[in-house]
Amino acid sequence: MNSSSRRSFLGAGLAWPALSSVRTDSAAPPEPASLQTQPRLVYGNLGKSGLKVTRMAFGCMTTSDPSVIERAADIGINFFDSARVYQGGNNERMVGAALRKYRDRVYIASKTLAKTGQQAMADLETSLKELQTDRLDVWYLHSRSTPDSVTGDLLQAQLDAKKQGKIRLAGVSFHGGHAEVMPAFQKLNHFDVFLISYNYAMGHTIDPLIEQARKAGIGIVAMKGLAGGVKPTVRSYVIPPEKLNLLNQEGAPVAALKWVLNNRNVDTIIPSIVDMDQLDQNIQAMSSPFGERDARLLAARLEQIKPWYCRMCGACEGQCPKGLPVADMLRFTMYADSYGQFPLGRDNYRALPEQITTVRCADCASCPVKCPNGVQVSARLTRAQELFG
Amino acid sequence: MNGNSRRRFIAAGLGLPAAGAAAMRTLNPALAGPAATLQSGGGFTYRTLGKTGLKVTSVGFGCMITSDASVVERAADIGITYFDTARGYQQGNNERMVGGALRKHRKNLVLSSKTQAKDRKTALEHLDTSLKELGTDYLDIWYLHARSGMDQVTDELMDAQQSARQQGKIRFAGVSTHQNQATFIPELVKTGRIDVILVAYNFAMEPEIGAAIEAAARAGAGIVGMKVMAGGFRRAQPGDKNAEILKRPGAMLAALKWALAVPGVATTIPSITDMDQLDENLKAMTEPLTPADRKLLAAQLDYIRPLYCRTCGACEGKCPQGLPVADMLRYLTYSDGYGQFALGREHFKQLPEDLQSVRCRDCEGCTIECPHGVSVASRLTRAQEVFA
Repeated sequence: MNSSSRRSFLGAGLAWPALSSVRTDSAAPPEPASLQTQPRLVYGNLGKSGLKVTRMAFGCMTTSDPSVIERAADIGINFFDSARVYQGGNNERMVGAALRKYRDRVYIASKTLAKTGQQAMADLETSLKELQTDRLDVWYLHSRSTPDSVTGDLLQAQLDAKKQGKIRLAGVSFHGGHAEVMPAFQKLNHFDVFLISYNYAMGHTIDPLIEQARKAGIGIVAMKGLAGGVKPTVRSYVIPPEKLNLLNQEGAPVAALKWVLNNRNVDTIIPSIVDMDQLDQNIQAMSSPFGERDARLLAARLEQIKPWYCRMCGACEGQCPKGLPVADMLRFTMYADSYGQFPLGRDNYRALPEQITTVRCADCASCPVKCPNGVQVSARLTRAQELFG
Repeated sequence: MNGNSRRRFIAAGLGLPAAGAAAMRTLNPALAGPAATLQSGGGFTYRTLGKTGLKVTSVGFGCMITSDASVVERAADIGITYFDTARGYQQGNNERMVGGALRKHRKNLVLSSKTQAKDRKTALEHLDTSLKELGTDYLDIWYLHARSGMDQVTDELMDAQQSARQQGKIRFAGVSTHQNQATFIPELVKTGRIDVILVAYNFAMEPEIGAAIEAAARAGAGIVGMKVMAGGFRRAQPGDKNAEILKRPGAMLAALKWALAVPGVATTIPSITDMDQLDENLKAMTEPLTPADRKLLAAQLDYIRPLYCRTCGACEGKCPQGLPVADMLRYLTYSDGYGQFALGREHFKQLPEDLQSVRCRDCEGCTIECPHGVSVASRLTRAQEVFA
């Protein structure tokens, strides 16, 4: 579909009121009329790094069409996020090829899951080669949801990489366990950037931790901002079909992004973007404030996703008698059911150890895992086993 | 994007009068309230797949690149009756997704899968895996996948299909083909052992293939069309001389309508990745191919001429470095045309190392002349740049 008409449609269709509470970021005040021509870019400082990044950035994990990435760079989005492992190792290559001609005006982040410094450095070399660049702007230790998943060996690798000019900033990413890992990682006095799960469903509980880190000069990048994808397609046995419409009201995804950016300690957000429509929608999140309609949309959405969306708070850690990594498995199910990325969910599932993938929750008489947020854990785990096992 | 608003937008954007709204409703059976036309069959056309007697909607569903199970499920909910996958798609994950999505509709559907196996034993192992992954006892059609000559459709493999059929694991035997089709299709028919032929055919290809298709259908073969969109290429680059005409949406729909108008083609399996595409494709069953469609296709053909390989096979063996030209162009089409970079690269990386390391830049001049006007050397160079 033609994207410029899509934009004018959004501008007209949402009938924004005169914007009262105007952001005071580095760009000029918004004029709704300008949306029909050129989207307005708003920048954030990535901690004390000196990098100025568009507050709406681009998560490439599930993107399969490189032209969407090129288009984002054309528009002026300047921060792109990939990882060594995404799409069976093919994602970095696509991102690199798409951004090659923009390389001097965009920042690129990648990540490693490596457990030793040596593996990490090998991953970094591959990332640089695949991304066709000499230096990563941010290099994350990927998915470190416990303090002990970050070792001195890995920190040294990041320091070495910096010294060798192969990376600018050292980062760490985590999906859950914020309350424990954020203070621990901050105390290391090492990281320039945190990449954290943060969204309206998780709520404001971790705001003080974010503020603390940001005050210490750490750049804050948010992921999982949509709390389960642009358009959750959760099956009807969880959500009655008639309520799906409520869940997917026009504007809800943008509202979710705005909710995140409304926290000024969050420098930027990296939603997954797979097509031009999503790109055009997401851009709106940068320049319009979080308003009452947004709050209503999100409240309706939250009501619906409550029984299935894992906030990654970490409360269930270690509770399953069979040793299932509950939060991870719920996340993989989310990839399939809400992101619409079945192969991604299944590949992740199949990377679990066999004694885990052969467990069937139906064999337990009752499930002792209690989610403080009301997620129906055993039903979701059973779903994962049906889908992927 | 929300399906509802998408419809509103189309109605508004195209400036359709009141009639527009009603038309939209018939095109969009599932969500709209009074969807009587479609639920009663008015919006679907059904055709019989040759001598198999299988009745299928003329627009089927190619699942190869679909990653969102809910699109597959929704297609079955609204009445699409033919779904196609293969053992190898998405590293073996595709069948599992398709099976999960179609479980509650299984008995009312025609479901096909494929094997690339070269011998009986491997083929039958693949079949058992396919059945397990799809969560079904039988396939309606089981294709020997990506064959281009009778040397790849051996008696051993056809015997394997026959015994699978005797065991009730498959209902009908098929072969899928991308290359050398004008010669190969009649040979397949001559065996008398292949019930369904999955052909690559579209508005960009040679009419000889169309003639072979028609003759095969007349001889009782069920013909399923794939690659009907001629590589996708949904967005002409700004600056392309056809960009203005192609800004108008509809080239993909026109291509599908074109394929449905080919004599002998019973059904088609376009790739469908989201609800918008699903809704668009449904229209091919109710709307005729118009002069405006033909005009769009002419522009699209002009646009893709230097990009899109018709897999005619004329370049076979012509590269002095031994590059499998048509294959490499196909991988690039996955990325540039379908928007599926990873799929293209995975295929590229399965080429032998010596072929992966060839750089076309190192050749003084390229000896390959494509009869259809594809800029072969520059496309191969691009494939090497993005994948190697």
